[in-house]
Amino acid sequence: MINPPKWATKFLRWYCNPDLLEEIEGDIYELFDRRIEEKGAGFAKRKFLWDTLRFFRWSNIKRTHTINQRSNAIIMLRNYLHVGFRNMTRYWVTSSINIFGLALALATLITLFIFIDMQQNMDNYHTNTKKIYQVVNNVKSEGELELWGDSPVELGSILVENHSQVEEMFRVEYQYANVKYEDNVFNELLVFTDPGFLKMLDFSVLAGDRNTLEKRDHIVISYDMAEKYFALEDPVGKLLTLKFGSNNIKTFTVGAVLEKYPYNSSMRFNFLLPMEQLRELQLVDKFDWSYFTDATFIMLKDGADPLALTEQADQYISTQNSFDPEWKVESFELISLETLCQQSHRIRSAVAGGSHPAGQIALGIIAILLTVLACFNYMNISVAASTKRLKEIALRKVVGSNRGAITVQFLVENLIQVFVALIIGTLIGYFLFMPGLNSILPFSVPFRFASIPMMVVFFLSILILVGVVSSLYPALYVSRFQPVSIFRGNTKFGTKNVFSKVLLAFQLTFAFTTVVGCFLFTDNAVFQKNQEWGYEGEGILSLTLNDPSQYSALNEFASANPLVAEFVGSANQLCIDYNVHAVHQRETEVRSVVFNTHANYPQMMRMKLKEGQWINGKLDAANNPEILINEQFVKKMGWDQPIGERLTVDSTLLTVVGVVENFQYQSWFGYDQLLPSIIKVTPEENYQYAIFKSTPGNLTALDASLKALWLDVAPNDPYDRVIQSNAYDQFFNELDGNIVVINVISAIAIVLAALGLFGLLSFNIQSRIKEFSVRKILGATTGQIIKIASKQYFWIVGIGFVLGAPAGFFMINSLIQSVFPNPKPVGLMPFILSMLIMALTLAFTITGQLIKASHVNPAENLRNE
Amino acid sequence: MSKGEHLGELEELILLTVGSLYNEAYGVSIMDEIKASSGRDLNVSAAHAVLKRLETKGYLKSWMGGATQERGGRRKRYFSLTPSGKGILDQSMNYRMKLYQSIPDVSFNFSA
Repeated sequence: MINPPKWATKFLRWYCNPDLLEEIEGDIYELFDRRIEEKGAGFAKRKFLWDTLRFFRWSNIKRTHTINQRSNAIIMLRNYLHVGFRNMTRYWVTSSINIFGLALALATLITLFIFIDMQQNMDNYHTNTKKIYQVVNNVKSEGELELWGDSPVELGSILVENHSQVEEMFRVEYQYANVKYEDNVFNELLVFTDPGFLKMLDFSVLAGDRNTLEKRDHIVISYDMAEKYFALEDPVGKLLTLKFGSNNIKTFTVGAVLEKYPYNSSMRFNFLLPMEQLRELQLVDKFDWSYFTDATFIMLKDGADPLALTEQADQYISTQNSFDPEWKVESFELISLETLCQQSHRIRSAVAGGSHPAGQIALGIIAILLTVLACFNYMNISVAASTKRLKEIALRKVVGSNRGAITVQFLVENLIQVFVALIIGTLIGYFLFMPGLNSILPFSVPFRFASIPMMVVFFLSILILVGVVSSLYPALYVSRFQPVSIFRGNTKFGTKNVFSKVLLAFQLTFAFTTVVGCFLFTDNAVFQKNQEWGYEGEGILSLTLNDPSQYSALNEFASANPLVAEFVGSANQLCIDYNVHAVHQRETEVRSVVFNTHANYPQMMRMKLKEGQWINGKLDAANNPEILINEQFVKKMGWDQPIGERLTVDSTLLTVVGVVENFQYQSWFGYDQLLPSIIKVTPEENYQYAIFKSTPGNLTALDASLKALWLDVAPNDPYDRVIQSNAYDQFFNELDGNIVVINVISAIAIVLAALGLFGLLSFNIQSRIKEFSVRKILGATTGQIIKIASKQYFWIVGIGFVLGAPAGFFMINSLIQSVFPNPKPVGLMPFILSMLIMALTLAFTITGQLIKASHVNPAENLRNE
Repeated sequence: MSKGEHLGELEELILLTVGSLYNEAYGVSIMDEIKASSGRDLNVSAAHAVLKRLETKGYLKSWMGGATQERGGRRKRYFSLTPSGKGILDQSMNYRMKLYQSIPDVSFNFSA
């Protein structure tokens, strides 16, 4: 007997309205049988297929009776959801452990994903993003090819002029100036640019004229600057005075105010001026091919090939090389604005900010690892939780469920939990982790995806991936059991599940890795923070001078003011300004930090004299002026007797009269090797800073009265001062931020591991309760039972420590070694502490369960047998 | 004739076939009959669609036949004319006859 194609009949039965199925199927079968006789099986089968397709029309698909015709699958799905919710609420401890663990990991994943997503989608909101490119160039420097963002200042205009596919361009030239409006004076970074800036990019103008950049003597300011300088006034039309040098002052009219920069904007310029002004103000010596401006951006016409343009641009290489044989461009490259941010780490002096991808990758890996751990947790607890439902499974099977149906049931139940976890995780991310991350980052990341499709894809794939990964194994595992063996009591699990133990060991290993890493990192960070400064910053205030007359005015003020304890002028100041020079001793050259200052400066900063004496301040070159050196210098030279040694700086011979303790001269001192340093006296005309030491407790008062005085002394210059005790704040804040991040991550890892252990142990004890009862009857003590119940987990914890601790040590230690030149030597303390923390957490987690195990009442547990 | 009562060409053909097959009219037999009498190749799904349409319009009624050994024991759905089906056929026939008869004989004179 020849049958029609099976899948064709299946298809027909699937789509066809059951009310119509019989007659339709009957007719097709009748034709099929007849065609076999007439024209053979092949023809009949083809025709059969054709007929089923022809019947595939809405009138045959549409169900006439909806209520009775609902498919069994849907009814079962409803039942699964029902049972799932009941189980979730009845065993709420288990499900909340499950959901909470997963939610924590998902919150981390979501938060970090949004962070990375934003980094990956910087600047994508401009309409023309895809057509805009930065022209960067490869320059040969000391035999090595370097990619520079700076490009010849003439390049942009010549590209627009000679190449029809280049539509528009703008350049970016950074210059500093003191910007003044009424009493507000600040030192600001200005950007000279072309009208193309506001034509190519979508930055919207809040007030004023969008074509301001085409007008001479006009300036565009950002929203932040409008607030800073004009507060409540309307800035448009107001005059800003810009001081580029002591004799180079010019007034500009505010022509436009830009709206706040979007959060995903990599370029955030505060002051925009026409490029022409750069020439007019004579800020640049030569305005030709030898001058490199900070960046050139071009916009291509639709469909133009950037590579073709790169080749055409090669003709300008020879022009550039002829103007500046010292700095030879080898080739040009176009980098799309779309990817500029991701690439800016490889461009030297890039204008678009962007972090190195390594950080993003590391965060991404951590987020994924945490999620995987949470999935493991979930698997383990789900499997263990099914112990209580063995009979339900058996009964379902007996009444006709096949393995597939049981699998689907458990999948559905688990998916419900994953879904709830996803919602909770999103909430945790939104209300906790994202604000937390933002408080650490120097910029702020809104809880927002780059695009809606991205968000949908992300959440759906989390739901599906996490859901399937974490629930497929439990579902398959549980559905395997045979009803017969369950009812006979032969099936036991939770006791000898190797897979579960491997997963748990993995979790614990990861937890130990992060905890050890966390302790090592924190230990070192605290060590870095607490390093000796080598001087006292208490009460020190340094004010930037713009010309020598200001120094004498301040000197006068200082000598008469009771708030000032000490006062000097200096060309350099610790943390703020220092220079590295080549210092010679006969033939030996030492790269050293040279402090040009006042003779009283070292004492005023309370540097610690190790040997010799303070310098006298005589400047007479013939008498070999006296200098101080730091310990590092002595160490570097290997001197036994440094006092009296002679050194040459800038061809002046100097005499060492004293050695001071090492002092931290830079604000990010943890990241760089301490260099040998010299303190020497410099004449008054070189002073850049006025340095005050207030009488105790009067620093704030001094600051206020100086600020008031400054308006008279230098009305056109900003009151630019640094309080020494805050000078390292950025460095400290960054360290603190890192400490918080790594602590949060390891805390999550511990919580996940603890939850995993708790889940497994509690089910293990549950399933062995009769065993414990019997043992008790036979005389086992509480201690013995606790030992028996927890023995196998000790091994797993031990393995986790043995594998995880060295891994954490190597990872974090290599990180520390590569970042901090002066790391804290690794002691035993971090290991002991992490072991202790883990032991305490785990003990705390399992104590309750173990006590439960030891307090079993044999009478109650064995009675029902 | 209002719009809703309009009979399509295939509808009319099938209505006539159902009438002529009397009590033996179901999907395949109708299809066969049309093929035999007019040479027209109809897909059985088309026949079903038209039959269903005619039934909802009230020109046909249907019932399930008894199970037989044929076609895997599946029953057939038989169709027969309703009075209104008969009415619409009469109406349509009359209309055609009237039109036909009103053709002047001259127009049949093809030799001219």
